[in-house]
Amino acid sequence: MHLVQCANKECTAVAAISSGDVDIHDALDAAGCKCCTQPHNHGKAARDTGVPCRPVTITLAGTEVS
Amino acid sequence: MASMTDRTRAASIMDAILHGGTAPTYPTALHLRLMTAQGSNTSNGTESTSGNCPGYTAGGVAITFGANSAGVSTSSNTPSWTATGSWSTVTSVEIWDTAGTPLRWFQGALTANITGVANGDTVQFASGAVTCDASVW
Repeated sequence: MHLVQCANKECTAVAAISSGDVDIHDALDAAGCKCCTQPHNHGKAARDTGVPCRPVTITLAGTEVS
Repeated sequence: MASMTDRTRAASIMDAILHGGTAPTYPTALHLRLMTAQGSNTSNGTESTSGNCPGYTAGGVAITFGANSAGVSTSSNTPSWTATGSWSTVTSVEIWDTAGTPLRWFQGALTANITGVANGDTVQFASGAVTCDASVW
């Protein structure tokens, strides 16, 4: 599972990605993060415009190797 | 995920137990590598590069494990990277030693792919995030 949080330490929005192929910025957007100062917030649309978006931290857990 | 990555080394350990043969040289340090395509138990995956994952350096970063408990060893540090550009999708990880000619020891898929990493983002594994389960060797 991945936990995605905004770089803004005061932001409480957390996106959990448990499987599949989910864009981490889109997931944070869906989780309600409104910290990005750009009008399009986080997400693919922000990156497509080339306008910087507030960075996010993705923390991974539960990876088993053998 | 199941089975030790490189069967030849698993086999040599087994042989040493069964026949008193020579055990392989065990690693003294390990690195966690990110993969854009998962390998198998007998072939390496495709490692991320500084080109398709800017901020990542081929060869990975150090990973450490705590003592085995009930057959399971869990990672004890927080391997981390800061992206300096957009990343390709990361699907899996491998654990290699740090010998002059490094050998791969373990591999496994991520529970979910890492997709959409952009410049400035941090990708990190929590302590305890990576586990090795002896029951699936």
